[in-house]
Amino acid sequence: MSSMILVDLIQIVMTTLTVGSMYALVAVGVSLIYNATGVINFAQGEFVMLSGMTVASLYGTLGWPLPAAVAAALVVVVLYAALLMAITSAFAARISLIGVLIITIGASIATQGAAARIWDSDTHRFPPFSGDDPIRILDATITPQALWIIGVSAICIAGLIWFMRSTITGKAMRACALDKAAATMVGIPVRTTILLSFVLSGLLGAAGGIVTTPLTTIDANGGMLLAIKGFTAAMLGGMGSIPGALLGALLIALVETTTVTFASGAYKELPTFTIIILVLLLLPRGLVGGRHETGLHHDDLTRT
Amino acid sequence: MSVVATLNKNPVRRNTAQVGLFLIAMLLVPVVFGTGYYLNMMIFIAILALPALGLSLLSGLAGQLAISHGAFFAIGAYGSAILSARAGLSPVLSTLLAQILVAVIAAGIGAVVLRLRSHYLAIATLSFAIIVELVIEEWRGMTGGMQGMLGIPPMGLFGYEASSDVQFYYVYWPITALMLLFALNLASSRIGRALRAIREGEPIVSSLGIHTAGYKTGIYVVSSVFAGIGGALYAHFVGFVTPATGSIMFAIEIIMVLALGGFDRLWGALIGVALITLLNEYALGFADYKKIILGVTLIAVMLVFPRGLLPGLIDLARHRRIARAA
Amino acid sequence: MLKVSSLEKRFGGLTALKDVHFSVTQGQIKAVIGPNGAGKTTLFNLIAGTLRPTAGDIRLDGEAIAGLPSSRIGMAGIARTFQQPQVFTSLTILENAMLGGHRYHRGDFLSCGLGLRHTRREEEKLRERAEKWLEFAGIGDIAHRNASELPLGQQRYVEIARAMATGSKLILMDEPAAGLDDTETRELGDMVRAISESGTTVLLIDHHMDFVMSLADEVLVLNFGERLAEGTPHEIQNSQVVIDAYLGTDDDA
Repeated sequence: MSSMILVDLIQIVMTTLTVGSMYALVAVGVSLIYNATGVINFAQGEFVMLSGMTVASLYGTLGWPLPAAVAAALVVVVLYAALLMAITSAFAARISLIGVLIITIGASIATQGAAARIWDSDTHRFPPFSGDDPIRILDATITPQALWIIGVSAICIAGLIWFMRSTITGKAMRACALDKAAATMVGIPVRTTILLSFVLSGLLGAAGGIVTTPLTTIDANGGMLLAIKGFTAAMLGGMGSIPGALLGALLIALVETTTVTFASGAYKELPTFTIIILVLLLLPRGLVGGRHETGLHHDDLTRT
Repeated sequence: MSVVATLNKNPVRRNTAQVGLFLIAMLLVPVVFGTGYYLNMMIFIAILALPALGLSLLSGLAGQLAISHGAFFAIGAYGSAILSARAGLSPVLSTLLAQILVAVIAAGIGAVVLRLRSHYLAIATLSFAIIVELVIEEWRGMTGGMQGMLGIPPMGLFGYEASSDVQFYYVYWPITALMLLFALNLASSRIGRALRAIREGEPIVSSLGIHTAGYKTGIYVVSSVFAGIGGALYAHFVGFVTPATGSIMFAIEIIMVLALGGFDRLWGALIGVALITLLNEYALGFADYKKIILGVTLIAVMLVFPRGLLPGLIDLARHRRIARAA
Repeated sequence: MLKVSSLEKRFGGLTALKDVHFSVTQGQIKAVIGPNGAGKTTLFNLIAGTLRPTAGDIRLDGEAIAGLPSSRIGMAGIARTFQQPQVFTSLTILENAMLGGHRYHRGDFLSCGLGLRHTRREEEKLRERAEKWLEFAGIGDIAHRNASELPLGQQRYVEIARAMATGSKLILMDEPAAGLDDTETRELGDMVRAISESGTTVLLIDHHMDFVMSLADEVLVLNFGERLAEGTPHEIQNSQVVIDAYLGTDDDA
């Protein structure tokens, strides 16, 4: 005997965790790059799209073994992240933060166009890792792939937090985020740290693309909306804070899932974007309280 | 005192003279070159110049970037379309009434997000743009959903409706020229000066007894209304609107216009619009290639000339000349 | 005209100012001195509305201004110059000074965009007013240069012209003589006197003892955020508490 409310509740929790994991991977990636460069990376969703598309064509269409396809996708994304790092930091001192933001917008749409040329504009997917048979919990159901998503995301984010807190390199990255000049003075290689932030951020996105594509499918233009969800979550939690990004992602997923369950799927996105405007109004530094906003001088679009 | 010196001392007169000459030149174009398909492109330039001028006011005076100009273009277009096609108002009246809607929404958004700095404004206005796109797609009863709206009456007044490209050309270019004049006057007025000062140091400006928040919201509203008028002119020219009318890609194209023409140059925005319209017509036929070309150009321009392609080239030419003279 | 009573400012657990009270009378030049960290700039920030006081009262001609936003305080008639000159480097010197009179004119977005006649008249008035004060500050002849081209010392004159153009009753000057040589300091002293003679009250902070003592009508001494003494320069120079406070610290005074 299970009441409908309980079933709904379990269903909402499971869906929230699944969707929230995906958003968290993007949001944490956004935070990493924001910490390293002070810029919100518009092309964050392209990591997810590129890895999803690569595995879909290598494993799904060409029949490579899954590990080989996954390895190839990770290589593609790491190279892409390095390229992105190169173009955004090449003349960083000369370009305003908004200028760099525009560069990432350019990178995002160029990548969408290129992906549509390399593959096509259709949606792609590949078979789930552990089959399609849903697992039942009371009357609620969850697909095995959702468990993969939740598990892989949890491992990735926990691993990242461990890395940032416990390794020398991770500590150097945090020092860099706090004060670049001081970090340079104590001998931290700042450029390498920025590169590492992009690569780690890319790997998180790639992991997301690989585990979610069987469930949600992916297309060449699918990255941008994910990126927007990512910075919404990161901003909700407090820009630059990793636990904040995680919290923000889960909250947004909860709101979306609840809207879909009790209202209409058509308006799924509406509450999310209303939230972001409310957060900016009421809590400009987010729930957890991220880093301070940077000053106006550096942000001016027309200064050189 | 020479004429030039007199004009320089009075910016309003200088702007009027410049825009007047420009408008005369534009009005002579069909007389000299006759009618043809190119007029259609020229009309689009006149329309797209409006959101570009609007964004240029925002980025040039306030140093900020908004991704909401596509959304306000869409609100202007749908607002005027609904008021004229469904409520039967005259297109001129509907165009003006739609701007009240644009202004009210922009004032609300502006009051909230302009307290924030830098790229937060970009992200917040992007969120707003997504909401607008969703509402347009889902509010089928009013907007026609994905199919859009057809049968929007052409621009006109008292039963006289523009019906040919030449007529639209002679209606739209004077409107765009007047809007350009408005923008130029605003930029050279004390409001423009206050905004440029606010961009440099808001606390100091407010210590002079100036209410800075009002100016920031004001310029965002004006900037958005430029986009809204552009949208209404668009709707009454092509006769239909779809959710693609003011999409995020459109907003990015407007940013691209400024990247080409310069982020703080109103005349540059006009040149940028002409360039992108030509590109769209002759080089960017396929959507995928268009995205690649737009994206790569955007990156290249920002890397090499962060203030925009045109100002960058002008600076370069000036340096060359100085180098040669030395 | 300015009356400050039991003013207090705490930053977290740190008390920057405690029970400060003093008043400035119309037309006076009043100086605030004290060792570094005595709370002088904090005091200015409280009066100008850059910071909100934790407690206490500030009145300008009887009007309570404590805690108001800085633009409201500017409108009430207090202008200031900064320790590090804050000029707008993307504007010309003239435009910088024109911002001073900005608050007197109402021209809104619509009339400015339309270039209506009254906005042009306003602009003319603003220009005249700005030119007058640039002349006063001795930089009228370079009004059309860009403010970024000026050395720091001259940027201070731009600030003074801008502050005077606001037509404020009271002008707060934060270390106006910092970084100036003897001749420039003397010129500045003359200018401050001229400001005072024009009817504007001056409240200034400075470290140069000679400068302050020869210029001020009255001196307020702060030490560790508290009011140590107040009186004429002569009284202050002979005050035992002040001498002790200054000798007791190794700070430059």
